[in-house]
Amino acid sequence: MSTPPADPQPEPEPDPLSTLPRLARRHARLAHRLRRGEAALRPLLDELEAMIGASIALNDVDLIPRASGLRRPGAIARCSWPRLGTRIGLGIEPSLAHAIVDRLLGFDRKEAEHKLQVSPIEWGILGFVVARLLDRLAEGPGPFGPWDLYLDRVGPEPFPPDGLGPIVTLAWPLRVGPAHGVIRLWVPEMLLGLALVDEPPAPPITDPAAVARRFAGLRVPVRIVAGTITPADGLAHPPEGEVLPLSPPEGLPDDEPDAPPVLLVLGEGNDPHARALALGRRSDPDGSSLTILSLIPRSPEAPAMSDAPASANPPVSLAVELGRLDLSLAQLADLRPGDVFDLGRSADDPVLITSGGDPVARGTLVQLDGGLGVRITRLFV
Amino acid sequence: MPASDTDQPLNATDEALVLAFLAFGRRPEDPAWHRLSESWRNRLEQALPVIAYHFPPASARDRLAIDHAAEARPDPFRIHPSWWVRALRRESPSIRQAVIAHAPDPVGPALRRAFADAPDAEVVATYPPDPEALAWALTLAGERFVGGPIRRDDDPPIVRVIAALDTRGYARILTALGLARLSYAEQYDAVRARDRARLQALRPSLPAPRPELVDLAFAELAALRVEARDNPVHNLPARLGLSSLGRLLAEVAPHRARWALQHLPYHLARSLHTFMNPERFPLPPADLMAWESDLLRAAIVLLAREGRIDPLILAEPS
Repeated sequence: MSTPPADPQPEPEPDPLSTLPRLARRHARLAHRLRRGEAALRPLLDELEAMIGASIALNDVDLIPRASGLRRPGAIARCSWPRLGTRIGLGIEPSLAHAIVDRLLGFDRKEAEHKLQVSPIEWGILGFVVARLLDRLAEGPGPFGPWDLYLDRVGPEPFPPDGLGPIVTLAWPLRVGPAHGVIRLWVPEMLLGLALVDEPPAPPITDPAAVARRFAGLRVPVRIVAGTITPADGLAHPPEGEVLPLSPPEGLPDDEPDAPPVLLVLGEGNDPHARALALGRRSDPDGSSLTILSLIPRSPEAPAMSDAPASANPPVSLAVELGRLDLSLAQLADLRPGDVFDLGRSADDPVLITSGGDPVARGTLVQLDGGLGVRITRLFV
Repeated sequence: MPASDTDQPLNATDEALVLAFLAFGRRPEDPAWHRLSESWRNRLEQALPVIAYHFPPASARDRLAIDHAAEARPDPFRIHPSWWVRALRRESPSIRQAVIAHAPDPVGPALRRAFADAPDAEVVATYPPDPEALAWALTLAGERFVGGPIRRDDDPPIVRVIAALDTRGYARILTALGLARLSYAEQYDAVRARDRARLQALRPSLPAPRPELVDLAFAELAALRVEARDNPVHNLPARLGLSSLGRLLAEVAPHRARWALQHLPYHLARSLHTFMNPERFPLPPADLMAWESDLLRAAIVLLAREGRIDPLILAEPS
C-alpha cells in the first residue's frame, strides 16, 4: 500500500524588508548607551588636550557589529586585559597620529602630508600617549570593575582578533585642530554583554503589527515600470516625436496586450535598492488603479533592473514608468496579492522615461501594431 | 632574558617611547609607565638608565623632534631616481608631467631624462599648476617612500654600508660579497684571473669552513650557472652577492629595511625580495645570518684594504 505523496511545502512569502541592513538589538542598545555615556570620555579628551595643547572635537560614535577597518593604515595599539582574559585593539588613523605627534614636537606639516604613513618614532610617542590615557582611565571605575588595561605594543601591524570571539568596532570621528580622522576601538562582543548587564532587558517584539506600527512613519519610493524602450542607434536621448515599441519588463509575460503586467520597483536608482518588488496589473478600465498580482522573491544575485544607466554599453535600454508610489514600510511589509493602489492618473496621462532612475524624457502611450508603444513628447536634456 | 635581548640597542619605536617618557612624563616616574605590559616594561628598563643618562628631558624632546622630522619626509637625495620613475609610470600624464616639471633636485632632472613626455620648460612657465594641487601631487607621488635619520645606533652593518655608499659602491660591495662566497667554497676557477688574488686576500678574514655552508655556496653557484644555461654568467660574483645582501636585510626592522632599499636601484631592490623571506632560508636562520655577517665583514675588510671603502662607516654614530 503506497502512502499518498506529501503536500508540497508552500513557498515562504518574500520579505520586502530583506534588503535592509541587519543589526542585533544588543548592538542598537549599546550604541544608544555609548552616545549617552560619551561624557565619560571627556576626562580622557581633557588629558589629551592638555598634552598636545589643541582642542579636540569628538563626534557621535558609530557602532559596527564586526571587526571593521582592521587593515587600515595608522598606529595600532594592542591592549591586554589580564583580569578579564581578553584583549582590545585601538586604531589611530594616520592624519590623527600625525596631528598628535606634530603638536607634541612642534612639527609643521603640510596638509597633503597628513595622508603619509605613520613612522616608528610616531608609534613610540603614541605608545606614551596611549599609556597616559590608560592610566587616566584607570583612575575611575567602569562597568567591568577597574579599567586595569595594559599596553602590549603600538605599531603598524593589524590588530589580531584571533581567539576573541565576535568583535564589534566602535568608530569615533575625531578632529584634532585642523586634522580629522577616525579612532577605532575593536572590542570583543563578550564585553558588550557585561556592559549591558545592568540595563533592564527590552521587551521582545513578537507581534508583527507592532513592528509595522513602529516603522509606519518611514516611507519608501516605489516606481511602477511598464516596460522598456530601446532608442535607435543606441542613443541615450531619443529625439522628440519618435515612436518606439514598448517591451515588457525583462522576464515578464506579454500574453495580454490589453492589460500587460507592470513591475513595482523598490527605491530609486539601479543599485542596491532597485529591486523588483511585486508584479501588478492596471485593473480599472481607465488604468487609474493597480492590483498586485504576485510578490517577487529577491535573490542577491538577481540583476537590479534592465533599465541600465545611459552610460552602459549600447544598445541603451530606457525604463518607461507609469508613475510612482510613496509607500510606508508598514504597507510594504503587509503587501499581498490582490492589494489595490490608486495610481492617481488616467490612461492618456504622460509616462516618464528614465535611465537608472533619472528622468530622461516624457512620452505618451500609443497603440503600435497591436502592441504598445511610446511617443517621445519632451526630452529633458 | 636571553643575552641578545639585553645587549642589543632598542629599536627606533622602543627608543622613542622611552624618550617620550623622559621628555613629557612626570618625575621621578610617570605612573603611565606601569600601564605598559610587564614584558615590554622589563625590556625597556634594561635600556632606560643609559638613555636617561644621555638624554635629559630637554634633549630627549630635541632628539625626538630631529628624528621625527627626518622620518616625516623622505629625503629625495636618499631615494634612487628609479623608484620615482617606477612610482610615476602608472600616474596620469597630467600628474606625471606636473611632478617631472616641479620635483626637487635630484629627482626632477632624473625624471626628465627617464620620461620621453617630459613637459617643455616654456609650457610649464606659461601654464603653472595650482599650488595646492601641485603640493598634493608631489606629496602623493612619493607617499610610499619612507624617511629616516642617516644613522642610528641600532643600524646593523648592512644598513650603514648601504647608507654610506653610492651606486658604484653598491656594485663593489656586491662583488666583494660574491667573492667572499666563492673564496669560502674555494671556487678559484669561477672568477677571472685578476679576481683570484682577491679570493686569496679574502681567505684570512673568513670563518672556518663548515660542510653545510660550503655546500650552500656550491649550490648557489650551480643554480646561477643553470639559470644562465651554461653561458658565461655576466658579473657572476656580484650576482652571487645579491643573496647575502637580501638575507642581511631580512633581519632589519621593516621600516628601516625599506629606507635602506630605497638607496638601491629599483630593479636591484626588487631582485633582493626573493632572498628576504626567512621562510625560504635554506638553513636555520641563526647559522645562516651569522655566516652572512662574516661574509659581509670579510668583504668590507677587502674593500678597505684596497682603499675602496672607508671602514669608519661601520662606526656607531654615538
